[in-house]
Amino acid sequence: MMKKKVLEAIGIFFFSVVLALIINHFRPDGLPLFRTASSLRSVLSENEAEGGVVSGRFLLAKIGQPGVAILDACSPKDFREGHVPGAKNIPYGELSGESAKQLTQLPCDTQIITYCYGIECSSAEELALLLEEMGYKDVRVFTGGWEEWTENKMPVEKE
Amino acid sequence: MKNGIKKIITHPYTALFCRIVLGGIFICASWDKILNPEQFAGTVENYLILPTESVNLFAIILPWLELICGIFLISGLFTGGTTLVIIFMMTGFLIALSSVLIRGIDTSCGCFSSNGTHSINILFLVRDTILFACALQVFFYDRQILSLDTFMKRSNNLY
Repeated sequence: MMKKKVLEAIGIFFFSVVLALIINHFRPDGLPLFRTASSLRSVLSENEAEGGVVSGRFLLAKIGQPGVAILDACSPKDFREGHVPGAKNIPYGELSGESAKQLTQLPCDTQIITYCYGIECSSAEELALLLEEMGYKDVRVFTGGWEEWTENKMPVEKE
Repeated sequence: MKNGIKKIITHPYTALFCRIVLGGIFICASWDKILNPEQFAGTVENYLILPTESVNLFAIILPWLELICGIFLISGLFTGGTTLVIIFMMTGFLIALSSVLIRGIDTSCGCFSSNGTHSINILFLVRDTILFACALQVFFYDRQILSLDTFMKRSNNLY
């Protein structure tokens, strides 16, 4: 009896997979089967062309990746209320001993992405310039910042 | 009193009720995701659980699996196998929701629409636990009342 149910379940699963793939193939707004290869590459090249400015989608793809540091230049209070998952708080306006120490602990080959409140906030760019002066080669800025991140309903981490 | 509750929980008509409710919920849950696969893929990506490469494949297959399971449950076709698939899906949903809540990620559920506005909270976990219990009830106590399985068995016996 149980064996029959398991076989039915496997059959239903494969039937659904085949049906979904066939329909996806023929519908005009069908998705590519694998997300990264093309989409991430296009975002990367687009960012290189724009000289270190990255999109929210690029930042999302970088969360949790080794060799990448996401730095939030907002105030500690705003950082506690919500930030990009995995980001470290380096408030540029209050760059003090502890924040500066965190900065120097990053290895030189780290890819760093900074952001702050939004398009009108300059802290992220100023922090990025400082990091470039400190010798970091791959520093990028998510200019849309927190405003664009939340508008697009991207994931948020709270403390 | 205790026997009375047990009788209600194990009654075949309770199973019929759970079967139809679960089936309806799964059909409703699948519809918007099928219509907006790109948006649903974005929501899945925001959970930060699946590798980016596999997000599209998941977003293509899951809604169709939900729709097929919903239709099969309501019509009572392959009920045992269908319920087993639903139990697996609900287990996955519960793990995903718990993981998002534990990590403190603020993102929309995408459970009934591809682009929901409500952030995941503990009530989503309660709702899915109730649906999981309904699936278990159908799996163990369904006696194939008003089902195509019974109709097919009777037809086979006639010939």
